[in-house]
Amino acid sequence: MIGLVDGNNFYASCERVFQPQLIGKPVVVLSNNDGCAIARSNEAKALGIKMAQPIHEVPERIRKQLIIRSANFGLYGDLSGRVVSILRDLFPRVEVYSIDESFVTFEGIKDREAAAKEARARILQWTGIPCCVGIGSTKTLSKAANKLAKKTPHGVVEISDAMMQLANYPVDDLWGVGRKWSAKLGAEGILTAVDLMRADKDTLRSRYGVVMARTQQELLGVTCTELQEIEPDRKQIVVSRSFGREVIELDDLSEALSTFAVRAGEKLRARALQANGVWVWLNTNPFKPDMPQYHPSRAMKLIAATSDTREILLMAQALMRSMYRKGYCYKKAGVGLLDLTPGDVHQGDLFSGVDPRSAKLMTVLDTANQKFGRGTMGFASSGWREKPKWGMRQENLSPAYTSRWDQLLRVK
Amino acid sequence: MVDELDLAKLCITNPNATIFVEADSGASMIDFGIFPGDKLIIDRSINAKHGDIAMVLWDGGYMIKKLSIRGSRVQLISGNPDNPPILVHPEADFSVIGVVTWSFKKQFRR
Repeated sequence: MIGLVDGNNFYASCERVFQPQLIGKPVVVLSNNDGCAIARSNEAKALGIKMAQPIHEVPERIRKQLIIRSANFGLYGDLSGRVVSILRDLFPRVEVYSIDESFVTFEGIKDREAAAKEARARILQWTGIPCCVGIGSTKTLSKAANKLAKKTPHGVVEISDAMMQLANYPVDDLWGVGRKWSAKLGAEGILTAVDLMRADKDTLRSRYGVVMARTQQELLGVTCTELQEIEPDRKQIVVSRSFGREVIELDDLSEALSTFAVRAGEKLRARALQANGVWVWLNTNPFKPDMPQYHPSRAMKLIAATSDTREILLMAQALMRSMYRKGYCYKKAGVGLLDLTPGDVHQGDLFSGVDPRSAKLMTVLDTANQKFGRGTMGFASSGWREKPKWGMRQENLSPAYTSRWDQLLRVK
Repeated sequence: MVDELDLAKLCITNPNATIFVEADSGASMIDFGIFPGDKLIIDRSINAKHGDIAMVLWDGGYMIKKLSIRGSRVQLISGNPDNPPILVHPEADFSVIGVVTWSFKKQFRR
């Protein structure tokens, strides 16, 4: 059996951990670049705020009720790493799927539901992040179970009888199906997950392709490992892999990570998207409990949206170097691209008078150095004539509570 | 192998549950040695007991207080005789976020 652990409204929940005044309020986290909603608290969803909705399209009377935050990827990356580390202590295997979702397995665990509830309670107490756990015999079923779990007060659902439990489950809410097929499927009378399970296998394959056929198999309990290739929801691209052998040296780790970053950049351009944030995590081998364990995770926003592999590479390397500690055997690493926006959004006009490409590259270096090197804050020091646009867009950015001594939460 | 003395290892037993905050408590906690600007280590994994100094959620905000727990009667104690104890009503919106395990003050002033 497989479990999917998913942080509820993850970015909005991260903001609440350090700002209790946001509890119970409609919180919206905006993308770096274009002011679109990339996370919404339940209260914001209830006000009708949609995923990816540009905030300026929200009627003013509703907008006035919202608490708006700029994406604070540094904070989200930190809390994501804590959640994954807690899961590694509790489950035999953990596969990080996105910044807020991990698959876990239950070998040797007798009472899955009790284990899932314990994990949920521990993550909430230790990190402040509320999670839900979906359990099923395949990843597709665990994803669906997770969605059902979000509607329960206890937050854990196991699918043991898919025919019954998914009878009313909308087909386009299934992993890997998506809205683009829903009209066509609906026209053929396939409205629910169960309709899809009952559809003719060969017809499905010929009309909708191999992914739909695999989704059907997964719903029927047949594991199709190729589904790992399905991109996470919520506009992220994640590339991760276990190393063939354990990696100890910084140079080797750097080389491995570079290939992931390059691959992530390829995927990004293939989908004509730009990234606004980069996330990197490292894992030691959890199957060697006698060895020291270290599972760091860090993320950072890019100065401007980019699809340039060199910029992604630089940021990924800087994040990796900031986390690398000697004396550990690294077994797995991943690179995530966050807050993806369509590629036609240009920010080049910020750098009038200078070659935008080299200027952008330099600013990426600058931020990385400022954050992790000896330098001080303040982008003005890099010699820009104008106050850049993105500077103004950070006015709703919460402090770096977990990564800067001068920005700690102040408690009365 | 000789280990270096590592302050983080001494003070942080559960890094996944540990956060740092800065005291902004005025004179209210000085009898417990907590002064404004001190850095505090909060371990969210420790279940708070009577007598612990803790970060609590009270009245919609976070506070640092000493806990007095007698059965179901919870009081928030300040480290200053000018601040009387706060009685936490059982129905009140209250929870313990974590226990203050260490506090740090920089003594060097130049």
